[in-house]
Amino acid sequence: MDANKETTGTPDIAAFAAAFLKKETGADGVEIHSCKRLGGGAIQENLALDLTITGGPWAGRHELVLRTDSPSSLAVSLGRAEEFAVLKVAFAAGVKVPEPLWLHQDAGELGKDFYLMRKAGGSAAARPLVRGDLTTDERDALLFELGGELAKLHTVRPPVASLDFLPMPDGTPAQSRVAEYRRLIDAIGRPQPTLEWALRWLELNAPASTETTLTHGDFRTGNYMVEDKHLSAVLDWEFAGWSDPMEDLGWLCARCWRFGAWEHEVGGVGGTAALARGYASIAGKPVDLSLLPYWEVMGIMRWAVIALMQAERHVSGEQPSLELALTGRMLPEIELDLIQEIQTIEKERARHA
Amino acid sequence: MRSLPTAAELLKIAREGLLNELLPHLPKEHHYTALMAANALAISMREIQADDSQHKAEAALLHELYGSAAPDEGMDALAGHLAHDLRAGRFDARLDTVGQLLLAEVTARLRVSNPKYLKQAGLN
Repeated sequence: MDANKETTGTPDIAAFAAAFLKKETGADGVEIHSCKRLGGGAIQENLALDLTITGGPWAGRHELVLRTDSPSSLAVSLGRAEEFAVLKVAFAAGVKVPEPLWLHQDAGELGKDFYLMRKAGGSAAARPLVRGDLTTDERDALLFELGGELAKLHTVRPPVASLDFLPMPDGTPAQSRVAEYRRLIDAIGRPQPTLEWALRWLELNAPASTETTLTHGDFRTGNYMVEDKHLSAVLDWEFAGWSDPMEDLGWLCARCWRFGAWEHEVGGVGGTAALARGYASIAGKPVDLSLLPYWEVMGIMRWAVIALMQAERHVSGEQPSLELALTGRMLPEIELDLIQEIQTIEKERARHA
Repeated sequence: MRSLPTAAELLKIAREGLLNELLPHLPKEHHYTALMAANALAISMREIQADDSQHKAEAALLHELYGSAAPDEGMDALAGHLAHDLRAGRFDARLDTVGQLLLAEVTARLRVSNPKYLKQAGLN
């Protein structure tokens, strides 16, 4: 056994992946140098593989990431085969994503699907980025890039044959979300007056949708990689779907995803002007930022529902966990965000009336 | 008869032991769990020591929205009524008033679960 070999990941998956790659690439052999578990996946498990392929068109050394399901999946997220399909479409649209390479669709050999992609450089850690020492110009440059990536993704319109598993919104995307969140709250079965209050407001104020595009669904600080102060890859595509493109912008800017830096509206990184400029540079038309506050409220609502579902896994006894338990006690923070952000919009509206 | 120290005092001293004596000896990868445990102890401590402001905020909500017709089944049942009525649009004309009452109730819960957050939000 190679002294440098690390087996902190899951060696049987690594060995399985090596055999899979040998077959898939027509190689003579595949040697795994290291297999390390990467952090940051409550739902998915990500393993970094450093390997050498001998023979065949892929001969050489490769740094890859293997993504598979972890034991606790959320029912609302995509499976790995579907996520792989989304990643391919996003890659083809020119979005900076880790290049998706091979998909293993399991027929009982391993017990779960996985796919392999190129490992992207940089770090996705949110707090160092938010608290870091980027200058205003550097922040603006990064926000410009984020806007551009979103605009590229939003050029993808339905229908796309390889994405036929993604449901279309029922009604406008906003109405569809309100109905979805009500269903999820009902499934938990505990009354949530504050969430119902906010949902009613979201229903009454739902914008007429102008367009439906491919959306990332979880585009926020912590889910994109930054290398040398620039965007290197957009990660975590399991919530992708057809929706209003403003939903992605609202989620990115929602107060719950600023990691304490509330003064920086876009993900705790900076202001919306640079983001909008970057978006417009690709979209070829200006972003209507007047719709952003509504979609930020929708984003906070989404987080409230996800937090509720995560907490329920502990409360129901399904998955006892300190982290999930504390997520339940975060709900008042999210409720406060909802009330304050809606009140701000209403005050602003009254001022202009 | 009352056993001393109180539950709140026990939680306080347990938390101090965890943070001051155990945490410095823990490997880095276990710090997050230790900090979460300390947070759970702090929330429990505040909950035990909480005054009746949450109860008052709930009662005000009940009285303001349902008056003398307020259902007499307690707060959980009321929350169910309110949630249902909000969804059905029965408070559409008074959404801002309901929002203000809910804010007071949420604020009272936050005083227990995360008082620092209240401060950041400009509330106390």
